[in-house]
Amino acid sequence: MPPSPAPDLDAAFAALADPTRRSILESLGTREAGVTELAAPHQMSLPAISKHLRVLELAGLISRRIVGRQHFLRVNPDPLVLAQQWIEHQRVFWEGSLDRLAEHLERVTGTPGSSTPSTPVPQKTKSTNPPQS
Amino acid sequence: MNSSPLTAILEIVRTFKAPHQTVFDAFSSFEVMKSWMGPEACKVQGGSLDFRPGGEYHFDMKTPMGETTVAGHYTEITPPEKIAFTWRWLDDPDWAPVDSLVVFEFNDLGDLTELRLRHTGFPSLESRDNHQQGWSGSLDKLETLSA
Repeated sequence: MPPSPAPDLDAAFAALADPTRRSILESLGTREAGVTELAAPHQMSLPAISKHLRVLELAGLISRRIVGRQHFLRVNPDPLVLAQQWIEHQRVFWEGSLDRLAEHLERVTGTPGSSTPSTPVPQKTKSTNPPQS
Repeated sequence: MNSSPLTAILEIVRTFKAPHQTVFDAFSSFEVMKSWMGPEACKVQGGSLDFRPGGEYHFDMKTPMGETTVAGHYTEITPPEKIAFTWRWLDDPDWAPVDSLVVFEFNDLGDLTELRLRHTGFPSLESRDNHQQGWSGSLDKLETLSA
């Protein structure tokens, strides 16, 4: 089943593949921060940190607010939600497939009821998307 | 803080009332996979699979939202214990860039067989090993922050 549109997903995955950029996102957290403040813990020059911020911004992972000459950055989680949606589309695909696999095995073995219901795996797999603020 | 995690990892566990080898064999030929691949609303119209490590597969699927192809290659085949393959939707521009890995593990429980599916999405397979921890960890943290 082809999942529904997620235009920023490729950029989001690519941006998240870099450990420095993940670290920037983590240090941003829920607050808004300036470029200088973000650069400090990473021991990077302002141009270097600005380049990473630009990648994150283009991927839609952060948003920028400009006040005079100061730039403030904030995490925008939407692409991460899309990544989760991709996995949820795969869940629908596989759950449906495994239902049909059970039917196939019933035909092959002649044994009815050849599958137990899907077992929810408690960690990291529930589908609820986070509420958006 | 919201504690529900967000991560690009899917895990499904099922137990089938069929012998270990029989469940494994349901993955080893195109004709058999064609009969169960996809939810009820999807149908496999064509495709092929070369069931050996490094072998490629593709399934042409007709879905309620149109026709698309999913394809990849086998990275591991250990009969009758484990099958791993890459997974990519080719014809959907929104999702084609996402490489992912599917792992099926088959556990012999006597008359029953436990099937464990793990499907993970990554920007590329090359970066998977290097970034798996950070990727999941970052998503967990960001989801918490976004709540």
